[in-house]
Amino acid sequence: MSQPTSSITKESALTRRGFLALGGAAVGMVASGSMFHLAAYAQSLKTSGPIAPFRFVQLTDIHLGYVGDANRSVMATLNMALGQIASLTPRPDFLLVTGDLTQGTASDYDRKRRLLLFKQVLDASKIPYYTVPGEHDALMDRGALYQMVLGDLHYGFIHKGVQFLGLDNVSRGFFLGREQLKWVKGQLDTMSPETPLILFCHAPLYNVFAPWNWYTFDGAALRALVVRFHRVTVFYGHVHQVISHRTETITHWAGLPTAWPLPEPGELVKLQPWPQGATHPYLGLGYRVVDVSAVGDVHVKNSLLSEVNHGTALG
Amino acid sequence: MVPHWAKLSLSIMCSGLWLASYPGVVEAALPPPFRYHIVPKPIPRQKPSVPSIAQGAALFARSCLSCHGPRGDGEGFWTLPTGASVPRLDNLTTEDLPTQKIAQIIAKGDGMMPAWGDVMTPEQLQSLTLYVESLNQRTAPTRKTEPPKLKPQTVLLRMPH
Repeated sequence: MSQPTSSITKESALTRRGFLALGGAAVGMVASGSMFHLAAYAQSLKTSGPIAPFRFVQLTDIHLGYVGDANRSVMATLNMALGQIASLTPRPDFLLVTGDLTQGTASDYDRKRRLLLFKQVLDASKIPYYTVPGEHDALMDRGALYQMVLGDLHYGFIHKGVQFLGLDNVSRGFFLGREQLKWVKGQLDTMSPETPLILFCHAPLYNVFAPWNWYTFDGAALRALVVRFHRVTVFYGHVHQVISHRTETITHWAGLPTAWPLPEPGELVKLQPWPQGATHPYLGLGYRVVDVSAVGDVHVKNSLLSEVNHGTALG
Repeated sequence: MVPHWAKLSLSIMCSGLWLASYPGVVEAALPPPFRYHIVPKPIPRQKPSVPSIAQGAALFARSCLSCHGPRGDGEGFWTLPTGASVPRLDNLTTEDLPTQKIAQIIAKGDGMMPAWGDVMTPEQLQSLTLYVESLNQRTAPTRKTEPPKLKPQTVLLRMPH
């Protein structure tokens, strides 16, 4: 009879099978623990509630107070747009006005008068509205008068299950700034990625054409904050023409102005509008109708002021 | 007694080791098929020394050119909302705008000039300051010194003989 050569008995020895079992158990425990944490984390994330289909309208670049050849009556084109919006079926729940509500002026008195006029006209339309500043409204005094008349420069609200964030990327220059980015991070950190997210601001959040200030210096930092969301749409103005673009998972939409159209970007020339034509006075002017579906998908329809009366609209 | 052949071979081996310590010698000594198997050690990516005028130029093109123009002469491609003219950046004198003042205006803003300190890092701000300075023929700030006072001294008058 042979003696055991090792002092380790069969019961205490760590066999290969035992080792694998132990390892498996450890992996299982860690995984279940992390799953538990993940589940708890997912439950702790806020959702914006059940989504109900609704419609809203994007208005942009109104430039109230402008006197010149690019648009000989900015008030007339605004009223025309508001009249067409009032006849929409179904009616929009609200208007989203993405900046340049007024024409820029060095006089604080005139700026306040123009902002109050804008408020008066929009209040008279009986449709709720949300605004963000454009550089014409806010660059001269870093948004002081805008805040006095129309409220916060950046804010958020939830409408029928969709999270909206109004951003200010113009009042101190074409950037959001560290404080606003921190605020956005605070708003979104605890939010579930399934929440449909709609951002609205004046300047584009990606680089359209920096020589014309059609960009946001720290737009990439903001895009990094929202990229984990499944449905993100950005509505902006400033470029006075329809531009659609996709960065990461984000869809960017520039809206039709009601003031005047601007040329296509790309050439290193001074940015200037052209005089309003006698034959096509409403060329390139309009608004955007946005329908949000029950699953949070966004469908846009760009409506030209000149074509709506004929029953046609740009898709 | 060490034989001569041993001394000779030892000295050859030592000199070979010494030569091999130089980079490239071993690779060059190897026959061609083996040379390709030697992967040179990658040179670590050099972080550009910041602040730099090169970084400042890139930042200028992105954030200043639209208003101040590509040459900094105030002939930009974008009109200010009020229609006001934009200051030239190529005629800044050291006396009126010392470096600290330029850096302060870039960081804190002035009127419609954005406060880039809200979004740029200190290095970026310094680079931009360097670049804006480079657009000008600036001299190092000279300390204003008073003209030396003439000490009362003895004047030797040459008296006619």
